[in-house]
Amino acid sequence: MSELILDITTISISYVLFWLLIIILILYPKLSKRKVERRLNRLNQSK
Amino acid sequence: MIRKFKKNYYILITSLSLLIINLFLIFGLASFERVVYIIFFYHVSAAWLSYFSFGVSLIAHILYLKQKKMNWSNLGKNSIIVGVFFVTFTLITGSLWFNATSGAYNNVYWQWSDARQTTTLILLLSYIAYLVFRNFIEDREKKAKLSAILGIVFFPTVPLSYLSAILFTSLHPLINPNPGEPGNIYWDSIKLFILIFNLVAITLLFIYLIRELKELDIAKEKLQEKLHIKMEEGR
Repeated sequence: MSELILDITTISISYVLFWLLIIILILYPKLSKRKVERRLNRLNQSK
Repeated sequence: MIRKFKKNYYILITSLSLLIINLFLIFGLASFERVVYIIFFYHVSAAWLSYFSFGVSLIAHILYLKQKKMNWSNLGKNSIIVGVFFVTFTLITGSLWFNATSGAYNNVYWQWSDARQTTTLILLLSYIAYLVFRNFIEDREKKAKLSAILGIVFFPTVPLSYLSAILFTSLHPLINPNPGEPGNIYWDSIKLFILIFNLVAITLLFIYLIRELKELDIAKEKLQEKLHIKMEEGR
C-alpha cells in the first residue's frame, strides 16, 4: 500500500478514536446518573 | 437545577461545535508534508488535557487535605477519570504516529527505550492504580484522605512524562518555530492557532465533564444516604 493510503488510514483511526472517547466520556456520567436515579425512585416507591 | 443543566449543556454544544470547526480549519488552512501529521492536533490536545486534568487533581487533593471538604476529593477523582481516558488516547495516537514515522509502517508501535512512551505509560498505570485503590476503600473519610495522599504522590509522573523527551533519549519530536531543525516539527503561526483553538474546545469539554461527574457524585451520595436510612429502619 502506498504511504498516502496508510497515512489516511492512521489519521482516520485516530479521528474515530477521538470521537469515540468523547462519546464515551459524555455518556458515562449521563447513563450512570440515570441508573442511580432509577434506584433512588425504586427505593422511594418501596417505602 | 434546570438553569444549571442548561448552562452545562451550552458548554457542551460550544465545545463540540469548536471541535467540528477545528476539523475544517485543519483541512482548510494547514499544509503538511504528510497527511499523518494531522494526528498531532489530536495527540497534543489530548496530552494537554490529561496533564491539565492531573494538575487540577493535584490542587484538589491538596485543598482536600487542608480543608477536609468532600467536594475537593471528588473533584480530584473526577479530574483523574478524565485524565486517564485522555492519556490512554495520547498513548495510542503516539504509538500510531511512531509506526507511521520512525517505524515506517513496519508494525513498530512501541519502543521501551523511548523515554516519552515509557514514562507516559508509567503515568497512566499510576493513575489507574489510584482509581482501583480508591474503589477498594469503603470508609468515606479514609477513602478521601488516602486517595488525596496517593494523588499527590503520583503527580511527579506528570512532569516526568513531559520532560522525558527533553532530558532523556526519545524519538518524540518537539514543536519548534524554526524550520529545518532535525528531530523537530516546524509549526507556523496558522498551525499553532489551530492547535490553540483545539485546546480551547477540549478544555471546555473538560469543564462540562467535571460538572456532569459532580452531578453524578451528588446523585450517588443521595442514594447512599437513602440506603443507609433503609438499613437503619430494617434493624
